[in-house]
Amino acid sequence: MTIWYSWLYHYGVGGAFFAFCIWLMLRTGALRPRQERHHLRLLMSMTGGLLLFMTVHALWILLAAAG
Amino acid sequence: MNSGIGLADVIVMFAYFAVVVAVGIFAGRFTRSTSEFFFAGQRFSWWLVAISCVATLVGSYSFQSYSQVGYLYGFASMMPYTNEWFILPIFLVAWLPIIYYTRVQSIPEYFELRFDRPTRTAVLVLLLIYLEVYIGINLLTIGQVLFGVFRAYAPFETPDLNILLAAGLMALVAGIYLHHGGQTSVLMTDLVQGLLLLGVGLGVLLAGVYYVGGPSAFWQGLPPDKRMPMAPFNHPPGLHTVGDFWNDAIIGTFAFYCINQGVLMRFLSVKSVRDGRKAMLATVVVLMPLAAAAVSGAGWVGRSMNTLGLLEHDAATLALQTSDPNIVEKTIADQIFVNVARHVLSWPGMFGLVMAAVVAALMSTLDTLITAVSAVAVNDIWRPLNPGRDDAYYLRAARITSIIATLIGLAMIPVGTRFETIYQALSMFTSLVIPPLVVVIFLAVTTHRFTARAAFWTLVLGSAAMVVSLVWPEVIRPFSHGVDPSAGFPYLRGLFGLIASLVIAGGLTLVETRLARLPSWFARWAVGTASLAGIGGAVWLPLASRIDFSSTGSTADSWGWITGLLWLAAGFALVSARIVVQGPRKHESVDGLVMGTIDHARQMFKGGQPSEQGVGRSLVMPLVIVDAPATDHQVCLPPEAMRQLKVEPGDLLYVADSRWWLGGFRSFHAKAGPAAEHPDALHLPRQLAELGHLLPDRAVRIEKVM
Repeated sequence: MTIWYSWLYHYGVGGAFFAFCIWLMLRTGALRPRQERHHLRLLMSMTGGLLLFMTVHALWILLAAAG
Repeated sequence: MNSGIGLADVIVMFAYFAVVVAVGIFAGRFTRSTSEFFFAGQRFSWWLVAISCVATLVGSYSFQSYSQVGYLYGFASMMPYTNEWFILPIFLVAWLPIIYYTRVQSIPEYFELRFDRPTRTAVLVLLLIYLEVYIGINLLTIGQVLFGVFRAYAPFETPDLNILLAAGLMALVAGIYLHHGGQTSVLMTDLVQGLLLLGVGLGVLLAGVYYVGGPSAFWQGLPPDKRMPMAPFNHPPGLHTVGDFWNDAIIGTFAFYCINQGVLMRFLSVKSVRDGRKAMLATVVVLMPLAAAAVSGAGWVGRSMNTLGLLEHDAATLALQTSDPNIVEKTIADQIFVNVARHVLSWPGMFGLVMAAVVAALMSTLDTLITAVSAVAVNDIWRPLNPGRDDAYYLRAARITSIIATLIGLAMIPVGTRFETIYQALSMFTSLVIPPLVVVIFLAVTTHRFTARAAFWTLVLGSAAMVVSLVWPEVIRPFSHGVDPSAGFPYLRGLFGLIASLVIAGGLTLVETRLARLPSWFARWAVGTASLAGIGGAVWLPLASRIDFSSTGSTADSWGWITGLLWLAAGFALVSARIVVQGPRKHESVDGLVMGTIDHARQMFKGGQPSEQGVGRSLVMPLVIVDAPATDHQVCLPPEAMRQLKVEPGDLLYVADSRWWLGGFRSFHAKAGPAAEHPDALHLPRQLAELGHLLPDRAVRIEKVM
């Protein structure tokens, strides 16, 4: 199933860029989830959204592959 | 698109134009200052901005091109609309708050604050090219669409003149309400247009699924490879994951949300950064997938209908004398949107409604772009040249420049018609300016080490690198991920541009922050050697390209791309030498302009220490308008209201008509004053009530912003 290469590349490289940006924000203090409640909500929304898209795309591929 | 438009269709289309112009002119009555013309007074709710954003993103070419892609590649056509998540952290946590809190009015203005005047000018030039080309492309598209529909009534024999006339008429319609109301009109008309284009697109999809016999029959009608939500990794040439990822998910998304001045102005018109974030999340999670289904749906239904034998082909396809299945497939795909719409929505007036949705997609994009050019022209050209004038003067200038921007866009149409397809024209122009801008904005907001001279020269040399890649596409091959090279890697040019710009930006920053501080003899030696090597190579290779390499199995042309790269290297070496000779510059403060210093910007925005306590809470209370003088935009809340909202004097408040569906249309921002004597109602000076267009007999909702 070569379609999984697409999924892995998309969320692998994209996820790495996303993680790098989050790391940068935590490091510079632009995002302070431990001190600011709304920063925590923002971090959870962003990470949750990424996981949501990953999951929906993965389930859709499984559904399509099952016919 | 085919002609064959009926009277009912024409009536529907003209009714649509009338509604849009009426809404735009009505909303324009509320525009009195440049702040309202460009940013709608920064008072609107997140949902209004989210719908408006989608209306802007769905361009006039979207229905046609995404239906084609949906027919040819199935559900993978949704990829460009569902891949925006990776850019979200940069936009939500860095770019949006920085731009909002620093109160900059244009992207180039940020670059003067962050760097210097030359960088602002370079960004201004690139941005204006990007926006004007976009306006021209949208006008060209709609001109072609309307010419196709009304071909029988065309007054000129030359098609280009008819296209220009149709585009001019559409520009006139948009210009009427834009000239009147600016951003407020754009937002309110986009609400109408966004709902129309989503409704019609999804209507075609749902009616199509019903037409083929329900969801199960629709699914079975799709070949297995067309059911996949993602394209294969590096083929076919028309749509592959690696190209979509770099060209659209990273560069396209960054350009749309961070570089497109029109979209940025949309986010600056929200009542708070918190609402801007909500608007972005709603756009990406909910509205963009819906928009993807709306613009691609006809293609999916068409594929299913074709498999099930339900699709009747038009005369052009039936007359096709070829046995090449690819040409037949392409011809069916070209007509699929109109063909499916005619099959599934066959009663009178429906085709007119579909055409109105296509026109809505254009106008909502066009009005955004024209307002954006107007904002950039007034803030970055007009105001610096004519400083110190009153706001009415700049408002007049904004209205005049919106007309000039439209005329320049019309003048771009003959340039666009020289290209084989509209998409080619758009890609060619935008690919030249976008990757260097993406890199410069990303580094500007993420690191304080990125210097002004590095930023300026990254824009110049990065654009030069993009020209090199257009002349010699071979330079892109190392980043091609195995994509078929015959088409010249159009979807991976952006990746090359990103890498080239990153190397230039990083290299020049290192030169300025490290090399220029080294002992002078060593610095001169190092940079001088690099310069000579670069220049020598650039001079030698064009000469070498005249040498016959055939005996070695090589050809002269195959060396051309090295010449291009060496010219870039020479440029880099010369700029490095200049920086070293000039020496390091004094470090300017970047507080509030770089991620990690946003608290400083928030403090400046509020004019005091910001507090998050009570933010997001709101309460509704009756409004009493009094004839008393307003003091410094201060609103005095009853003591109980101050306690509930945790408001202290000096906090930033938002006062709006309590009807949520107005979306902040009647509202204003104010500072909290000392506690009021009246316990049950908000007593507001008439001047402030008029500022927020509040009505005397309507309750208001009060919210703490900061």
